[in-house]
Amino acid sequence: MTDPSKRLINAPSMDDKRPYIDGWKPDPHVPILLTRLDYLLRLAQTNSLWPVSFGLACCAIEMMASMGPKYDQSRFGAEVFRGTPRQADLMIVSGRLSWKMAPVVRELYELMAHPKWVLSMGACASCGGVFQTYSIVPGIDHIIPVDIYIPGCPPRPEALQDGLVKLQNRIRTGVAKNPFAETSGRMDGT
Amino acid sequence: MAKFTVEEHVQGKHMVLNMGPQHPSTHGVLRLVLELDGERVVQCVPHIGYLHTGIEKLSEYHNYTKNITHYCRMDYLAPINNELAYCLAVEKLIGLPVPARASYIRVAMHELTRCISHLIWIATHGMDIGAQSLFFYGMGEREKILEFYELVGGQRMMTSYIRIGGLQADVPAEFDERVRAWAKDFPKAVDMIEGLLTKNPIWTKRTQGVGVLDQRTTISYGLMGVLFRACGIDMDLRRDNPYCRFEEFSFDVPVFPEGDVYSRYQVRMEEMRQSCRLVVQALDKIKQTEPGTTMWVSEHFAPPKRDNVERDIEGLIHHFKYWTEGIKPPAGEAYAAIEGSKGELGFYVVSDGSAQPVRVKVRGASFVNLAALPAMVEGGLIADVVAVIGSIDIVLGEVDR
Amino acid sequence: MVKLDELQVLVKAVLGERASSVWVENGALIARVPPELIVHVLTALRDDERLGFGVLTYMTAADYSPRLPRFELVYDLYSLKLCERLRVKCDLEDTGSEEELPEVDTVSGVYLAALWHERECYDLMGIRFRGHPDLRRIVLPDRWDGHPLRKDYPFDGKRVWKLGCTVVDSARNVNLGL
Repeated sequence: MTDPSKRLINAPSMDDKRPYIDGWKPDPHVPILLTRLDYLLRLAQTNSLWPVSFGLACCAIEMMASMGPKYDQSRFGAEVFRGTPRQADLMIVSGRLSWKMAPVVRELYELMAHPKWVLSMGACASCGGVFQTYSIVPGIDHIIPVDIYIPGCPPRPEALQDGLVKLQNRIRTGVAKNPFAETSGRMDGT
Repeated sequence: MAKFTVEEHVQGKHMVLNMGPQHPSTHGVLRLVLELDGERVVQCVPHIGYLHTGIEKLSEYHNYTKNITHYCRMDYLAPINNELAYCLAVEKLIGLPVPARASYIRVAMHELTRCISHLIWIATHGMDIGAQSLFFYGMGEREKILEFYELVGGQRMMTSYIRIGGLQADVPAEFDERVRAWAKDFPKAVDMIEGLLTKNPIWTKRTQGVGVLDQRTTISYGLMGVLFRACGIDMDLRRDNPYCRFEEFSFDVPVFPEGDVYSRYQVRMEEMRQSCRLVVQALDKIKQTEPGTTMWVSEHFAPPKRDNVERDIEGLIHHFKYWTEGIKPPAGEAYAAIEGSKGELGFYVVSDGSAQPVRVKVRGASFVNLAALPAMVEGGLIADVVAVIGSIDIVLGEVDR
Repeated sequence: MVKLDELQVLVKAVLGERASSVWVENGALIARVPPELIVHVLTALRDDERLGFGVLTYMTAADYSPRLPRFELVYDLYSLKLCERLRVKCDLEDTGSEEELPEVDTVSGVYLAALWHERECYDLMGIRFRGHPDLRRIVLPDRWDGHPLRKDYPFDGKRVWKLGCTVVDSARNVNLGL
């Protein structure tokens, strides 16, 4: 859990078109001459988040409805669901994760190339939801790091898109850096 | 049930392919291990359990009304069907009568649920076979019915609208008019989808003669439902073992003899039309009943009316006991099955007189249908595996529970 | 469709002495048979011309501890000819030890539907079926310890937390140690 004083209280909104937010500090890994390019890169990533088709249970149906004609997700650039995680940069974990499936999720997450983000959709993915049983993982953040949690059982397609927009804002402003970007990805810290 | 010789396997003639739990065409987290000889499937072993939630175990710890919310999330493509089957089983256990208006509204929601289940089936099945635009046709039509779910239950999918003894609340006034307006246009939508597929040479080439299962094997696997009707067996639980006053309704049961993917497609398309017909009949019957009677007043098995709760102490105690402890059916057991959109969906409930059930067994149609998958797929091409999985219309929530 | 009392008489006639009792409860016809005779009974019910119970809708087991006998197997049959159901139940004793599981003959030779239902019973309830061609776990991971649907298994599984899952990826053996 991050220190509350370090968390952003005023989250960036959709209308905020400035490339840098208040209190922005230059990313030490990006040379100063390339900051504009870095911004363009983040803008491109934001508007073309390609999810890997990873639906587990009921929330997956709402995810499919969000892709459907009424709640068109391609407005956000995120309608191209790739079959393989190698070609995707967003994983929307929608539905209850069981212990049998957990190694598979981890493997899929590892197969995705950096930069990658994870959206935990629904109550079951975020915390186990209605099903606190022997076979359900109480929250996917036991297995993979998560960027945005979307509550609901199942969350409406608009809620999913709201979460997606929040993630997009965080990516565009550089806040959502993948926590494993500079590390090996091993969870034991080596 | 392997059809290869050990020598062929050892010499590397066959390739083992894993259609893993994450796959765009497996309709959920199903894992198939296919042994292939070139493109021919020699052996297919399904591995399930990637969505096992332990709902049957969980039901033993929650009271009868809370369990309704668990079963909604089992077959998540047809949520109200699960609630209906469970409530019918518990009502059979108690011997609780259900008012006519509640039965007719249940029929209307049941048939609307069948429509949404079949629409999402054709959306994903078509998309798997290659007709990607069908996804948008199917999902668009489905959204129109989800508006009724929201109107009646407040939620787009998991409404928990059907309760033990009747319904959670009466339908709003605009339900009748909006559903009638939908029912006028729905047959045209089914015509549109059929127009795209039925005589389409690509569709017929990919679905006719594929995944054939003969009658004897189908009966032995106990598949029931659409798979029986697509094999030439005339059986429909709504007509043969009527529940929810289905004996008062008139509808036809489509039966096609070939037993392949194409006949299952034809059965489901025709079922959608019949469902629309049933919904209109249900609306007419609802009009004739008295508004507000969606649950009989019962001291032990129904919540009290709100006025009584706020006025006298007995009402308050009744309210408290009902919502904290729950209902206590007499000891015994009951099984109730409905004609779900995928087959027979049944609940076997055993009670020992306390507020939690002793055992709830869910007879999930998809679990039984999936057991027959190897028999349908072995000997065919790998591309047909995708067509067959789509045609048996499985939902992994029901398979794994 | 045949009336339940007539069906009860017919079933009693077909089963004869094999069924210890046949009764009607909550609108369903139920027969109790000893577990050793289950294969004969189901074959007789399936092959009889008047009854024709050709469909096994489901097969399950219930754990009634602390009552003895502990387990009860339930087979639900449906007749396409008569459009009626019959539930066949057997009482199964638990073996004294934890390692040995109670055994009963498989009915997958009579109905193919029993293949997966019996695997599920084995997985969740721990009942072994003699003669089953492929008896292994179906909904739980293969190396899972215990049989969750039994009454002595906690529903949140905290007691057997040690198994959970071992997350291994190919190059970097990560063990979450759960």
